[in-house]
Amino acid sequence: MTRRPRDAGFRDAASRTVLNGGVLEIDVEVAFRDNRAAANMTAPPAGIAYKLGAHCLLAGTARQREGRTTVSEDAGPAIEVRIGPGGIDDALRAAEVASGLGADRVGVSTPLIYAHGLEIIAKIRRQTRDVPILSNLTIHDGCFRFLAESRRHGAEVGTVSAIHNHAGCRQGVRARLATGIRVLADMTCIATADLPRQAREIEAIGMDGLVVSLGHDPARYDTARRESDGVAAVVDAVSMPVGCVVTSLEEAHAAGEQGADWLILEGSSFGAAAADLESAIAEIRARAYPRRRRAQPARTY
Amino acid sequence: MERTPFPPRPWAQAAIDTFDLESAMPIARMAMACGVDWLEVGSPLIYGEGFRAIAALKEIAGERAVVVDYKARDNCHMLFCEARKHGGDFATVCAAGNDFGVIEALRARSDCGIGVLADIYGLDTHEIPLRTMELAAMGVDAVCIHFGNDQNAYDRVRQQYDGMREAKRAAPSTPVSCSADTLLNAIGACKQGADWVYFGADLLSSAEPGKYAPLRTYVETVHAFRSRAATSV
Repeated sequence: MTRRPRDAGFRDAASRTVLNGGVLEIDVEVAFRDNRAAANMTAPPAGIAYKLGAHCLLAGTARQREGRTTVSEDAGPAIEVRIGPGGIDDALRAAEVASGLGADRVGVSTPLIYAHGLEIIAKIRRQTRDVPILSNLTIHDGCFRFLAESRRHGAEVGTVSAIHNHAGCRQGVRARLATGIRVLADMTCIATADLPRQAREIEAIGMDGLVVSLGHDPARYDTARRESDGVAAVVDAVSMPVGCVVTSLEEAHAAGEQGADWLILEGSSFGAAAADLESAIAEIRARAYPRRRRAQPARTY
Repeated sequence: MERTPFPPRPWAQAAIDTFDLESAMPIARMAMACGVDWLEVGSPLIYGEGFRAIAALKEIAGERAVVVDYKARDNCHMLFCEARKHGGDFATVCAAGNDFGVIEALRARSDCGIGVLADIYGLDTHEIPLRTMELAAMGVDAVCIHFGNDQNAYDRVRQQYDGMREAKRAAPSTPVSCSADTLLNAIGACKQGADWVYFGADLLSSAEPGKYAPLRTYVETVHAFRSRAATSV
């Protein structure tokens, strides 16, 4: 499976790929050396792969192996581990565990930012080094400023609350153009039946992806709704990457089977011990999800 | 711990919208010196500095109320209780399409005594009265009409106080506020029956000496509507 290269640098890298049973391997070191655009980047391989093809990264997985990043179309969903509320030391430890376990991205939860300020992102950045960081701002107003600040503190990705907030989403896209931060729409509080329509609108605005999230407060009262509800409908409705927040392995599998491009594991929900999270990640990696997302051309940003 | 009660209406709430405490503190002191009734830990400040910003501004506000402008959508119980623990008197919940978040915020009020301000950011003007009525029925302490900066970037027609009169008609006994970043907007809001206005923008962008006079004028103008409000009652 090949992708339309999104720019000269990516084309150059793609020309050196090895098609191996549908797995697209990009030798990032080669791409880095030969690509003038990439030569200005100082980020380590995962970060470079992310910049070269964020869509690919989210649609598949990117794993670092001795300086080589493999972007695989046939692998399962990428995994983000989100660090929940707690003290700074706990958060740093959790981030270290998550990156050590091979998470594709570390997410900084909204309550964690509220508790310690955006500086927590910079601290986690120092702890995780190569792993991209998501700042889960779920911001409503002033989106440009908040996303720019998140980028300044080291986050590669930020979120905007999507409900009743097209203006904020548009400002998010403006922030991406100005700072390079990837911007995702958080769909918390949007009814399941309304998700596909809203997702199409979000895609039209030009966001980088969207996150299907039930939310803790709705989950407390709307016990009939599952975290993975609506993922399949959203995946069918849009061509952008679709993520899903899950708090259990069962929901992770359900979202994966519905075609989620990446799974957001609420770290604390998978048990306090690193072994619990490790086994959850291993099981998700090992699982062959039957539903594959259809091939999409790379997006031009 | 008793929560600070509502001041005589209309009152003025100063939003401290910087990302760091170092620049926030002098602006907060200036706002207090100019007579604002409520001090707001703006979203940038709470995102930038975390909970410690609440305690820092409460120290400056003293007996006057501190509002924590989370615009929380999820985890509302925990966030509201934390705000109270750090000295906040009120906190905002994003109330557009978020009944569960509002319920959780109200649960926090029962547990810790914090006041619940329902921010209806994102709603179109015609949606405001019904939602205000619903939120009043749910038992929130007050409703904030919020036409934000991002919306304003794409809608140059709507005024910040649009919908105020209709909201007050829909829920006469519930205090309703709106953002009013200019003196003209504040006057418009008060004329339409706003119980209070909240503002930031240029008036509170720094604590330079030249900022005191316009800020004092703004607050005095809002307070001047008190006699009118008393007569209309």
